[in-house]
Amino acid sequence: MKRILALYLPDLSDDRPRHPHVASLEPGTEPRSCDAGDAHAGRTLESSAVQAGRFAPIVHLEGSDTLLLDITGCQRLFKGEANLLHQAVDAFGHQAQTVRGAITDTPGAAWALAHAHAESAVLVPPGQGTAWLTPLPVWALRIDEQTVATLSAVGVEKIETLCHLPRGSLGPRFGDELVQRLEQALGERPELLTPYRPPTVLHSYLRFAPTDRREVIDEAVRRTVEMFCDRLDRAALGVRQVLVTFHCTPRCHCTGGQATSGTRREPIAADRVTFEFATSRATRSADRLGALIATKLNDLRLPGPAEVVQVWARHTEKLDDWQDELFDTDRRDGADVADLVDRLSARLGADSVVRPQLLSEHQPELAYRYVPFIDGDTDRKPSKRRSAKRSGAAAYKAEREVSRDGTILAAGERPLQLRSPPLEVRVVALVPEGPPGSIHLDGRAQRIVQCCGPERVETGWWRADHVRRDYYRATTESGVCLWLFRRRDSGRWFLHGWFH
Amino acid sequence: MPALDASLPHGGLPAGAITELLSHQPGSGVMSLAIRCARQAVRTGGVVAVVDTRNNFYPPGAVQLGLAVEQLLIIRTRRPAEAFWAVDQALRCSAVAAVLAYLPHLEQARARRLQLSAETGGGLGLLLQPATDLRPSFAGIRMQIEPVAADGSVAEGLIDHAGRPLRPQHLITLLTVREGMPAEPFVICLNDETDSGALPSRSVGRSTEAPPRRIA
Repeated sequence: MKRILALYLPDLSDDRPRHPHVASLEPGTEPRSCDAGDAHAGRTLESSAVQAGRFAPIVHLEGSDTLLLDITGCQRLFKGEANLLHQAVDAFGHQAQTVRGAITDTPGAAWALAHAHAESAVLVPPGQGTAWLTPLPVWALRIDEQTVATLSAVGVEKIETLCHLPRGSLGPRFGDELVQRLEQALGERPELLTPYRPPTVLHSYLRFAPTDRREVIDEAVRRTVEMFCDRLDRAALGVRQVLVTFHCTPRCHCTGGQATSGTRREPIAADRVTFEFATSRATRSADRLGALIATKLNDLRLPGPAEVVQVWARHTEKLDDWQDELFDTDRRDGADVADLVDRLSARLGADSVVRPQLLSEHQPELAYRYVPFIDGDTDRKPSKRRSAKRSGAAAYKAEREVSRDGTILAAGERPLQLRSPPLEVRVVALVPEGPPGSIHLDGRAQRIVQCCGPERVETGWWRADHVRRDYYRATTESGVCLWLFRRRDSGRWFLHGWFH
Repeated sequence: MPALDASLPHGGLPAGAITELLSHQPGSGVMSLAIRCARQAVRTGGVVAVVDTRNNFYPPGAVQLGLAVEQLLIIRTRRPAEAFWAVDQALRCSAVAAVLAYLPHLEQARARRLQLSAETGGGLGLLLQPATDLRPSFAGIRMQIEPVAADGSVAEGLIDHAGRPLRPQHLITLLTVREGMPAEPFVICLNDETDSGALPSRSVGRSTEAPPRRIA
């Protein structure tokens, strides 16, 4: 006789943790995706499902707020169903949640009792499920609101009334789903419960004798990365973000290879050094990951001899078989650039390897911005997508202006090198508010032989630091081509860049 | 650029090798020349890697000269060692069509290493250097580019290949060429509208025996 426990948890948070809080995990243990006492994991249905795993082997997530547990045969372990129910309600109730539980014969009936019954903990003896189910309202059958509205329009409020109606007429009048749910609740139709499996964190580690020697650490890293990529291979996944942790024994406490503290033998907490890096495309190549880790290791100072190295996958993606890449030159070139970008970013930082993005902006130094080549932290993906869309629109507009016959229509000629910040120079103009006549540069006065301009650049007055500048492209007598501007508010001249 | 190509051996800048561009100061034409060469190199695909050590690269200017933003990969470094390593890595990558970097005071051993990396990657290495740094180098081609003084005698009587009178702006001196003798110094007009260089007519080319070198 099947027995189902339904737990209704209305107070769950909406954010789903995408990956575990890795720093709290110890090496040697298989990490679970959430811990009961882990304060960082939000109280979500998934975390509650993991917690409920101690009561039953099969935990099914129903909707966004209910767990259905198949407790057939588990009653003995808890010394009876009543005890099981109370323990379950207490376990969740401890975390200041509202919990309603019900045990009965079918999942549908259990759900209905948990949601709609007056008491918060209901235990229905075997075989009497129907008697307890019939007084409940119709919406407890897990049907949609429209059907509920239709039923109440014809005066059917309780399941009892529904049972009295001829079953054959229910389908054509109210839909097949109603019939299905009713039969499932009454036990006439079986309902399958799919167990919830928490996502496993891909993780590999290697423990070795504490050592300072670089070649030993390199070999350990190499082996760990191989195991890691093997696991990725079996799961057909590629990794985008990797976290690497070294556990080191603090140097000052080491005596003869064993960590002690003075005379008392006390285990010293190992120091952990963690770094992470991202790749521009999903990969499971041991060579690439090994090379990136080696690059990071060059700049890393370990506080003591290392004894454990762990490699975690922070963000993975499905990666199909990449063998066909060998025959596709375009993709191979793209892969080469991605390779280069990964290597450069690993050593210099993701902010140092950038691509420019033109912005529709009049102030020259703000007319572009740099965007990291790698997409970067994938946790912030939703907001990044939003900002990318916003800046994408502006950039697209700016780029459209640029791409029309190759010149920026909105602006005049732009120099190739920009001096930031602009350098104040002494310029003599023949006419006040006129073009520059001579400039004092490199310690001597140089005559300006040719001048184009002015190009007036003004930004909106509503900006805190709005600019009003007149730009001139000036060629000195020695042939150097400069970009000068005069501030209209103060009349001072500045050198902003060089052409050519 | 047909004018420049005509004076170089093999009709162009060598791919898979380093070309050094020397100048005395910014604004002397070296960046413009470098970007034009990079633009030619990237026509067949790939990216242009710019190693920006002085933090004064201005993308809108490069875009105006014809490089697309998708073709630009900017690497910003703070230390000379990082810049050298970045240039080395970028040269090795076969998908990078051209590398532009300002690397002053490059020792011979390092220059040799960059030359080998360029051969591995097959792209164009354009190293900008100050003109005071006249050490023997491993570069395939070494060019010094200076702006032409407006009142110099070089400016007179020049016509371009179409026969129109020309007002040159930059003087390119080929200091070293790996194979063959360096050609005579010639003036070039990095003209933004027509975007072509121009050789002086042969008579003027011969009359300029010694280029007006600037002494810093």
